[in-house]
Amino acid sequence: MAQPTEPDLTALLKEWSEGDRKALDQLMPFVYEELRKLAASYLREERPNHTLQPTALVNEAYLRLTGQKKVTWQNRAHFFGIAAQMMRRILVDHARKRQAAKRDASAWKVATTEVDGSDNAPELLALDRALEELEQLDPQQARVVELRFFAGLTVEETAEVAGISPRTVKRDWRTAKAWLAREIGA
Amino acid sequence: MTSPKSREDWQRIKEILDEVLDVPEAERPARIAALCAGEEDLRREVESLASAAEGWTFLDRPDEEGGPPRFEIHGPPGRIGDRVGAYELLSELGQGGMGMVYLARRADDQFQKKVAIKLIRPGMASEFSLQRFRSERQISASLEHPNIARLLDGGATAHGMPYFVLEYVDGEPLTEYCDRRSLPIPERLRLFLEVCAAVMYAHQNLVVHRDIKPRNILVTPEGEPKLLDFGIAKLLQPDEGAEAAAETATLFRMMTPDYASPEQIRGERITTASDVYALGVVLYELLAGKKPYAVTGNTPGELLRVVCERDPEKPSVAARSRDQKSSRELRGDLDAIVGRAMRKEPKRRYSSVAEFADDIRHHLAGRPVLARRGTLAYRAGKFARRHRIALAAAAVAAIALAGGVLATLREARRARAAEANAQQRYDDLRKLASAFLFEFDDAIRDLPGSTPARALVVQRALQYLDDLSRAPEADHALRRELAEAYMKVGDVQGNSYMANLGDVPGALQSYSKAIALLEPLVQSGKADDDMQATLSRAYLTQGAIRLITGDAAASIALAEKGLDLSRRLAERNPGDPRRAFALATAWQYYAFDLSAAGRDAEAYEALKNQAAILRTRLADNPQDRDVRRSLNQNLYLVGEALQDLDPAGSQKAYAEAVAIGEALRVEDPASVLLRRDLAYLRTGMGGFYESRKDFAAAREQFQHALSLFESIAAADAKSVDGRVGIAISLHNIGNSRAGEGDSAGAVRDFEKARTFYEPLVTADPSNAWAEGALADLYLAIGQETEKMAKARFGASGEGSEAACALYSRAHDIFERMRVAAKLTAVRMKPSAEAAAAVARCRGSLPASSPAAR
Repeated sequence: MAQPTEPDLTALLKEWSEGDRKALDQLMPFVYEELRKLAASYLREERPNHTLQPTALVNEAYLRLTGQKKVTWQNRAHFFGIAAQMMRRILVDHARKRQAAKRDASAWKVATTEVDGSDNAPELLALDRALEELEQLDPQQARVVELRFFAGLTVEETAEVAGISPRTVKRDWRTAKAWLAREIGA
Repeated sequence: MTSPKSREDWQRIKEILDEVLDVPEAERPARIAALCAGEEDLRREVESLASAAEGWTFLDRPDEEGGPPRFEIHGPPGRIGDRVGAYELLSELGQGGMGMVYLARRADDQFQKKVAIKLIRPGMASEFSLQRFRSERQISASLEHPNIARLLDGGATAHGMPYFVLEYVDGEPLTEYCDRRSLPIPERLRLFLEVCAAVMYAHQNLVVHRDIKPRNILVTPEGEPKLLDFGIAKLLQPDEGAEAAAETATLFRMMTPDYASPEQIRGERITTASDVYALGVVLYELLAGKKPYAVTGNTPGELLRVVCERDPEKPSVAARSRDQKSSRELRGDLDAIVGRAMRKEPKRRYSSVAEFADDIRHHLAGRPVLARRGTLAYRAGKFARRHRIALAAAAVAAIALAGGVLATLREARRARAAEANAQQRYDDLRKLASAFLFEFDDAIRDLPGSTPARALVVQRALQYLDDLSRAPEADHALRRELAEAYMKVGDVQGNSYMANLGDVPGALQSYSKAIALLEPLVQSGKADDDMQATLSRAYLTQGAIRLITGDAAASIALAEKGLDLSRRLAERNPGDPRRAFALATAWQYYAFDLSAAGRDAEAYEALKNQAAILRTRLADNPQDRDVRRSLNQNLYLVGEALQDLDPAGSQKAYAEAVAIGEALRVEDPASVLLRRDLAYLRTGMGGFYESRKDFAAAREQFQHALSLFESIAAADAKSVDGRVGIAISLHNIGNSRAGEGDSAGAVRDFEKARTFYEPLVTADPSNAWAEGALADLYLAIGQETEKMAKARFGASGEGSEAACALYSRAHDIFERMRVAAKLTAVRMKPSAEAAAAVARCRGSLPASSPAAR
């Protein structure tokens, strides 16, 4: 897939900010790349106290690409909407690798500090699995969870992106949490 | 747990669940029954989901309804109206480090007595600390004192969250209470004394608070201070090793950094002295009107730097911006009292809260204060070797605390030459330099765990010394003191015989400065004995450092200069034990340098001279530790030197050295220095057995050495020596296995050693010793790999590519060192072997193979 070159990127961003949603599609490879790089560098630092915030990464990617130009909040929400899916993929992939790596670590190697208590890989994978199940039951609801959790959208923004009412978003989010809590906890 | 079978089912469940969740928990069963009338499966499904909703997951974020969620593991809040044990939560009082605090009352209490409940976040409490918590509850519950908020009860909720029930105190934090009423200083002190009484009582009952801060000291409207939150109080008990360390580390993440003591931040033992420190910080705030440290971040590095290394402004100075009158009142006694309570090293603080309180009372009564008297006594006492000294990043600030000299000096400099009395300035300079020397007392070298602090000190110290040495008033006496100061800094930087940071070039520079200050005077005959002694030491140490960088010739030349000076000094002062001892040490340095150059016989002669002096001294003072330590080192070197010349003599020397070493270690188990001596000794003995081909015995010695080095590395993670020792020991152990023919085992050990060597070389490329050792290692791995290949594939040469690659590496390093004239005697043989091996490889491998470049 050919990457848009620098001038194209600016033009695309301009078009997108003026309301051209198709321009966003063309931006996506760039977005993905940006997100992936950010996630990789962020996840590489295994500090104790490290709380993983996908939303922070998406925010950062967003800022880098748009350079903080004035974009309407609706457009921002759409950007994040797509980024949410990407973020999920990236994090889940990383979590899978971590799980595999832990099994492989040979005993005498100077191990990287196992971040006790804040190793999120198992939770993340469980969440992903549970979300897939939820998608079978109610795709819209799963999307709501994805948007809120991986992109950190507010209720309004989620409503905008998913094309539903804020009331529905609240309901979906609340009931999804209950279901996920049960599925993941089991 | 049934799952909805279809999408339609799920939509229905969702709607019902949504309604149910709108309703308070107590009313839910009824609601569910109503909405699911008759449908048993549905009801069970909704019920299980509703109760799951009350649990919590990493998807929850309690404060922002509608806001973005966060992926963080934290506990659920208690909700207003929830039952916790026998109590009902009424409202939130505030967020603590461990969890939320609520106002509550007994659910069945007619009198409505209020209590405070602290819910501990589940992620915070490991199984270990839960157990500890249960036992502490019993202890803390027994604390009964009018100024301590009583711990009434405790338990765990249905969700498994531990909670404390405390006496509810309706009051203001101490600092706010005093500020709102604009209380004058004596009033604040009196309140503070009441707080001290409470802490004293707790200490008498063997409970350390560990989290004293103004927020934990509430003053009731009646003016009674109450100390809260003995929730993380700890019994005074020896720490249980790794668990305790981990727990402390967890607690560290939670505690308020502004009030944490240096030992808390470093994860070391917490004692009553830590409470003294915290009380000191509270007093600081009460008097100065602000906190002593501005901690902006929460990273360990930042905390370490600020709290463990930087000295705060004196309270009188801090208060200056607020009001002049207070500032004047604080100067002197109160500055000193706060300063003493807040010393970085626990042993230098008040020895108890009682002593602390007494000093405040003395001040109030106009009597002399211990904090000021103690400092002068300390300065006067030259036998302060066993004192552990707190190192501040600006070591100068520490000196200032001792005498206000810095302030004088600064003012003297700002006021240009004209006004200030030249003599006065000179006196100040000398006081400063000598005080500086004091603060850098030898005793710090013995401190495990103190190295991180030293890095910053070194920087400041050098800046300061450079400034001083440019001062026009610098005369002979001052120059000698400056030279000594430079040498001490050089020691910290990189003399490899002490816990260090591994900055060899820096050390060389510092020592060069010292030599440059003294050499001209000595050479022109204007130097007194003391100055010559200092220069002699500088030469010898400089020589030792040059040896590390691989310049054996320079090291010997320097040692000879030092030896010459010491010999003449000893001859001129025959009865003086100092000069005799210094000469003995000079012989030792000389012997060491000779030995590294392969001149074993001469080294042995030098050692004999040293031993003669030491044994004479020991005859008069059999217990003298310094002499015994020197003799220990001497015997080790003798053992090394005699290995080929006189094996029996060598073994005898080693044995005696071990005996002395073990005896010394028993007398002073904490000393890292002694451990190191013993580790080197064991290594030497191992080498001896190795040369006798007794590989099993050799390995035994090397294992001893390994565990000693491991304990050294554990005691001081920043220090290079521990890790170097581990690398060497692993290398040696590998060699012993190779000697027995166990190639696979050898390679395993070598590979372990490699993981230690490589970072060392990367971190300090000027360290020729480490480079050579790494090359040695590559050679050894290559050799064993080749053996294994031969065993498997015969003489065909198959499988030898790996070995050849390693030989190349070894050869490359040796060549580099040879060209830079850094190859010491002991590396000659391996260097030749590597070259030969590479040639063999090139001969037997096809040209296209990478190893045959």
